This record gives sequence, structure tokens and C-alpha cells, in this order.
Amino acid sequence: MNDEENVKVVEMIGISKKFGEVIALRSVDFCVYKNEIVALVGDNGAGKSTLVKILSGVFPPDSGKIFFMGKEVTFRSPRDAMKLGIRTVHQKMEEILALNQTVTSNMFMGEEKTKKWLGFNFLDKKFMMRETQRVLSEMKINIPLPQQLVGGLSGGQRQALAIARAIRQNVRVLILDEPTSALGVRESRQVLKLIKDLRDSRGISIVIISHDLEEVFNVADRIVVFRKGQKVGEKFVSSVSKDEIVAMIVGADIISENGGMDVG
Amino acid sequence: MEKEFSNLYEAKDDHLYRRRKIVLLIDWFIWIVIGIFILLGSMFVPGFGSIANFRNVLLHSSILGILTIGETLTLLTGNFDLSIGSVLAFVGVVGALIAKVGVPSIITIIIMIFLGAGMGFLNGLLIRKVKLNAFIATLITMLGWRRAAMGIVEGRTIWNLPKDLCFLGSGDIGGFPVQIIIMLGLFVFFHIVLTQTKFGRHIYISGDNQQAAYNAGIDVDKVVILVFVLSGTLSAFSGLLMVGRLDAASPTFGSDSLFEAMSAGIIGGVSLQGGVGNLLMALGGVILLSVISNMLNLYGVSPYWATTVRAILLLIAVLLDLLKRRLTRYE
Amino acid sequence: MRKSYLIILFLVALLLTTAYAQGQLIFGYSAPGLGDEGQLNIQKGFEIGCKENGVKSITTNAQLDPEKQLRDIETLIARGVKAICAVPVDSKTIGRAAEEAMKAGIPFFTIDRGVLEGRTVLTVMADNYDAAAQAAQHLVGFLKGKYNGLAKGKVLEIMGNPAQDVAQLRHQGFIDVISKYSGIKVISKAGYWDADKAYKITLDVLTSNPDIDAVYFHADMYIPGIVEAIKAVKGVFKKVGEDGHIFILGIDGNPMALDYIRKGYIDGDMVQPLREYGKFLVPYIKAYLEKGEEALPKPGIIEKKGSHYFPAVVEETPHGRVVKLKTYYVDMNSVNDPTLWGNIPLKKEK
Repeated sequence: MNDEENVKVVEMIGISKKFGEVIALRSVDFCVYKNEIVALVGDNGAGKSTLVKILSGVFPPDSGKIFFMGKEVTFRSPRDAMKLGIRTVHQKMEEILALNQTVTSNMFMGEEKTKKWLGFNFLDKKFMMRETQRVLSEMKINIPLPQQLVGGLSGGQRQALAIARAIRQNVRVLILDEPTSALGVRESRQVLKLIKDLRDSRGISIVIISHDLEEVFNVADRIVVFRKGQKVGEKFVSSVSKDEIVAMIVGADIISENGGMDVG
Repeated sequence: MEKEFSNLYEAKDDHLYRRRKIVLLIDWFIWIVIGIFILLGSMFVPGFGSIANFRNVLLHSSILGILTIGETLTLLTGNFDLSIGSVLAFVGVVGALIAKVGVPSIITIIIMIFLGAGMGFLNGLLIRKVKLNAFIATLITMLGWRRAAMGIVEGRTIWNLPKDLCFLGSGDIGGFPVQIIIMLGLFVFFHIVLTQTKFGRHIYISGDNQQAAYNAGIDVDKVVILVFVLSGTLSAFSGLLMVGRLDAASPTFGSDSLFEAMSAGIIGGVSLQGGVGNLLMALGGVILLSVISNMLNLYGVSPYWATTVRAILLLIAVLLDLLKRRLTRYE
Repeated sequence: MRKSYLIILFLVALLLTTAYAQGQLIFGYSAPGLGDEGQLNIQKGFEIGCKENGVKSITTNAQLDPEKQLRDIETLIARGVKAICAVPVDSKTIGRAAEEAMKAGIPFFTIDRGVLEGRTVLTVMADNYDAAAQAAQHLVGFLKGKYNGLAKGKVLEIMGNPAQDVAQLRHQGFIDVISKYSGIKVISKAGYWDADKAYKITLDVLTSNPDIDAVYFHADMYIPGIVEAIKAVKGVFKKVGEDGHIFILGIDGNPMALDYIRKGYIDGDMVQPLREYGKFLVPYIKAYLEKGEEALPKPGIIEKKGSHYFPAVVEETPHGRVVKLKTYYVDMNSVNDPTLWGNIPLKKEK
């Protein structure tokens, strides 16, 4: 990474969060550089999901500061984060897609394009249809009909659609929560390719949460490790081995023989 | 890579188009059934096939139709409104009382409409802000408003109302009943709202997947509350029409209309689970129920059969909804 | 939850002690549902009857639910009322309530509707069969007048809920008279006590049978629907006496019906003694509590001068003694009779 790209798009300092008596995050510092893919790894409940939820405005931190392009920001709702171009694709497709609606309707969900006619705002269906087709074909996603219902799409198609929707406009940081966990091997490969393409062709910063270290080493530039609500390590992929990461995740000094690919 | 994608899905495409055709058939099922009923009616029920009787079928549909629009909107958001019949009765009674005091009809009408809107707003608040289940919330208002209407007039009927108040319910323009014009006009208007506006699309998305709608930045509270306001307003409008149609108001008005409006929507193919259906289908349900009740008035069948026929139609409609959901799924 | 029960118990106890302290009799009244004008007037009549006789009354409302009526009556028994009077929601299920009351030593009475199971001490109701038969007689007269002495024509009958005995009697009494005249055809439709259904029935039947001569209705609530439907089909409404008028008559005698008669929209109405029931019954209840069986009216005829609702018929039935009050035909000539309950506002009676 050269200096010009060494710009911090997002910087979070001293983030803490408690849910009742459970401490989810303990004074965590985290940043996202421009045009990189950074992976968050850690055991279940290590705090990585909580961190991205704070970053995407789902809930506020108990303490700590968030800077976006060097300016301090506070998010009251996911909308605030979205306005700055921080977009999340949740792990659960069933929480972001409306299955009985068309591909176009899902692509523009909450951001429908309208045009004025006789002083009233009507949906610009033609524009949305064309735009959907354009985005899908640009990203080389195969969904034959934009007027098709999303319920009829495969898991990979749905994931691709969700990502396409997130990056359709004005995106600086894309957060992907377990983007391949529900997919088969082949579909996973396609989605990972899509993610790399996005970084290379669009200059987007991507935060990816994953349990699959194979996948992380395949796609990420940098790895941040969480354990018990704390950040325990931060390494460039080029300078670390899988075994070291596993050791950080489980908090052990001894590394098992075959390294343990899948820590889930 | 591109090749890989198409290989994966090409085989499915053919299948997909065939399924879409079946789904389209299910969507228009209701109008096919109406066709069959009209055909059979014209052949076997004396007096059914005349133009005057067709007008009667539309007269049967007018109030039911307007109530069904409101009910369909709430069904599309994944809720339902049990209070429509009670709002109709309450607004009707209050409107008639106001008119009797000598308030100009135009002001009476405005008060009635705003009253209905306010009652709908209350339903919306109870559901979205107090977080009551739609069933509980509208059950409370259903019982409450009916009782209140009865309390106000102590069961009495109010009759002999100003002529201009009754115009919407019983007048005609060039021989064509105003109530039919209003019903059809409202169907067209709300069909456009549902299919051509942002609000309409948000109704579908909120009903289909509330979480997704919220995550996408749609203000689900606002959408649902507004839909209940519309449902209340439309119920008030129905009350206005019924008061005008009968030149009377009674707290017993609209006792059956909840069941009829809900049946009409569901028979038409509007899903109870939200997000699926449209007003043309619901209008089909309204017309079908009206055709059936009209036929029963003309033909000497025991009235108990009407309910049985309706139950069978409901069952078919719900089964078709299930089938449609299965056909549109990726499996 | 438990707290609220305690409070209710306390209130009931308070109520009982105060009533006992005054030495006042308490009668329980179980209404089937006070939603319609008829039931409201029956209940008010009972209240007035109690007041006139220095009795206190407690009213419950079953909201058309037979199950709730049972619970209501159990509550009244628990409250220690001296007698219970009910208008049954369901003439069969009320039998159990009657039994329970008797077991508790509380005499049980009904108004307006009889019981089909169990026994009552006394039932006061209108002679619905006779009312329907009288209506039919008047109608035959109208038709004869229209067709130069020939009894012929086509009549639309809008029934109540055909499952209820009131509707069955109002149908049977009518049909039994009409069927003597082969020239009169009757089309019967069930309106389920719903004004809008009456509108739709009249609309449809009148469209397919433009030659309808008359409409006979089972309840006053149908009147606006019938009148407006005739307007909708014929374009104009021909009033009583005008050429092309459709005869309209039925049963109930509400203030609204009297007004429609006065204005010439409908021809006549059989007036039920709704407010009379209670006034008639309460003195008998009081006497029964003092003297027992012998205080009840004996089977036969009761005369009462100056009242439209007598002579009344008293019958001994397997379900107890029944008094059937007469109904009274009102038309344009008699509609302004100041003794008609429909002409006396409820507020004034209080």
C-alpha cells in the first residue's frame, strides 16, 4: 500500500459497548483504509458483529469516538451512516430482501426513483428497470429478469443482488457480514470474486466478517482479530500465517498440527 | 466467469417462465371464477342477466368495495383492521346526529371523514407506537366504537336526514348511481397509489418483510400508521354512503361488513401474510361476493348456503396462495 | 387480578347491605344485548315497572352471547336478587339458567321470548303469530282494494333470522293467512335483522319482479332499506294513496315506523307492547313472592279496558305459564294516538 492510499476512511477510537451485564466491546480502536479489504475474525461473541453494527449506525457505542474522513460523526440510525456511504450487507438475507417483490423493487428498496408528472411524484419504473439491468450486467451477475420475484432466486443470486444494491450508489465503505456462510463452494467463489472486483474497479473499502480463514486469506488485505470484546491482533495478510491467526483467535500459544482452517 | 454463471441458471430459466405463467393464472383466478358464475347465472337464474340487475350487483359492491380497499391496504402491510364495521357505524351515527342539529351537510361530511381518519390514526398508534398486536388493537377499537355508537343513541335509529347528505349514497348523475362512481373511482385511485408511487411500494415491502424495510431505511411506522388512517377514512366514507343509501343511521350498521370485506380481499388473492395481492384482485373478490348475494336474492336457495359457498371460496383462495408461494420459491 | 376481584366483591357486598338496610326488593334483569331499539324499550319498560312498584332492578347485558347470559344470571343469583327476569338470547340454553335460579330458590321469568327447555314461572310476550296473521289480513284488504275485490298479487316478505322462533312465528302466521288466497304469491327472503340486507333484497327482487305489489317486513329496522331500494329501482317513490304505490307493512311499532306512516311512506305497522311487558309483569312478580302460585294469572283471557294490547291470552305450557299480549295495528288514521309507546319519548317516561 502506498502513501496516497494510506488514508483512513473510518477511524473508531476507544469503542466500548455493554448489553446489560455483558461487555461486548472493551475500548476497541479500529480503522479502515481507503481501497482495502479488511477482515474481522474471531470466535462467536468476540465483538466483531457489535463493532460493525456500531459502524453502520444500528446502535450507538457506550463510549468512544467515530471519525469519518477525519471528521467526528455520530449515527442516530442506519440512515445517518448510509448518507456518508457506509453500507452494510447483513448476514441474514431474510432480513434485507423482500422475497415476494421483484428484483427491481429490492434493488431500489427505500430509494425508489420518482419523476414528476402533473405535479405528483410517480415511480420512474423504466429508469429503475434499466438501472437494475445495468448494475447487474456490470457486475456480471446473472439474474435473467428484473421483474422476477426475489423468492425465485438462488442463494448466490440473492447475495449478489444484496451486494449490488449496497454498492449501487455512493458507497465508501461496504460492510459484509458472513457473505458466503449460506452458500455452496461454487457460489462462494463467485461472490468472493465479486468482492475483489469491487475493490479493484471501484476503489471501495470493504469490511468483511468471516469465520472461514481460507476465504479471509484469499480475499483480504488485512486481518483484525477479536477475542472476548477486545482487539487482540492486527496483521497484513502478507506478513502472517494462518496458524498465527488461529492462535490469536483462541488465545493460545501452542499451534495445533494442521492449523485449523475453520474456526466456527 | 460469465460462462459459469449462465451454465448454472440456464436450465432453470425455461422452468421459471412456465411457473410464471401458472402464477399469472392464479393471479387472475378470481376473474375466471366471476366469469363462470356470470355465465351460469345468466343461464339458470331468471332475471340475472339484465342490465338493471348488473347495476344492482354494482350497488351491492359499492360500500363493500370501499371497505375492502381499506382492508386490503392493511392486509398488504401484514396487518388487518377488525374495526372497519364499527368505524362505519360510529361515524354514521355521529354524522347523522350532527346533520340533525342543522349543521350544513358539507361540514358534516368533513367532520365524518376526519373522525374516521382520527379513528384509523388511533389504530395505527396502538399498533406501531404502543406495540399492540393488530388483532388486539383493532379488536379493542372494534368493540369500543360499536358500544360507543350504541351508547350515544341508546340503540335508536336516526332517520329522515338532509337530502344533500344522502346524495353520495343514493343520488345519481345522469342515471348512474353516485355510490358506484365513487367506489370505482377510489379503486382506480388507490390502484395507482399502490402500483405507481413510492408509498405504495413501501406498503408492499413493509408487509412482505418488515425487517428488510426497516434496514433499507423505510419508515415502517409511518407507512403502517398512514395505511390505518386511510382504512379509517375509507370506513368513514362507507359510513357516509350507507347513511345516505338508507337515509338512516343505526349503531347496528355494518355488523357483517368486516367479515365480508376480509373475505373479499382474501378470496381475491390478497395474502394474510402481507406483501402479496393487488386491488384488481380484491375488486374481483368484492364483485364475486356481490354476484353471489345477488343470485341468492333472485334464486330460492337457502341463505345458509351463502356462507358455505363463501367458506369454500376462502379455502380455495388460501390454498392457491400457498401454491403460488411455492411456485415462486427457489427450490 | 386478585385485587380487582376483591374490590368487586367488596362493592357487591356494599350494594347488598345498603339494599337490605333499606329493606328494598331487588329484581335482576338479564338483557340479551341492548343494541337495538326494541330491546332497549323492553328493558326500560321493566325498569319503569320496577320503579312504579318500589323495586330496585339490576340489569346485565349478555351482548348476544348465550354463554355470557348464563354467567350474567349466575352473577345475579350470587348477588341475592329476589327474582330474575330474562330476555333469552337462545330459548334452549336459557333452560339451564332457569334451573339454576330455581335451585337457588329464585323465581325465574322471561319477557319477549319463551323458553324451549326448562321452566319459567311466567313468560310475557307478544303474540307474534297473531301479529303476522293480522298483518296478512290487512294486506289482503289492500290487494283486494287494488284489484277490485280480487285477492291477488305478488308480495315480498323480508324475514328476520329464520333460525329464531320470532321470525318463524312472524313467517308462519303470515303464510297461514295468505295461503288461503291462491292468487297471492309470496317471495320470502331472510334479512337477518340487517337494514342494508333489506335494501339489497328489495333491490334485487324488485328488479327481477317489477310487478311486486307489497312488501311485508319482520322488523322496523328494514323500513329505510325497503323505501330507499324502491326509490333506487323505480326512480321515484309513490306514497300511500298514489298510483303505483307498493304497499309496505310489518311488525314492531318503533318511533321511526310511526314517522314513516305519518309521512305516507308505509301503510301500517303492528305495534308490539314493548314497554308494556315490564309494567305488566312486575306486579305479578311481587305478588308471586308474597302469595305464590295463586297470584299468577289463570289460563284463559285477561281483559284490560283502554289498552290496545288486551285481551291477552294466558296459556299453560310444558315450560311454564305464558301470557301473550295482543299487538295493535297502526295506520295513517291512528298513528297520532298519544298512548302509543312510539309516541312517548323515553326521557318523558322516566
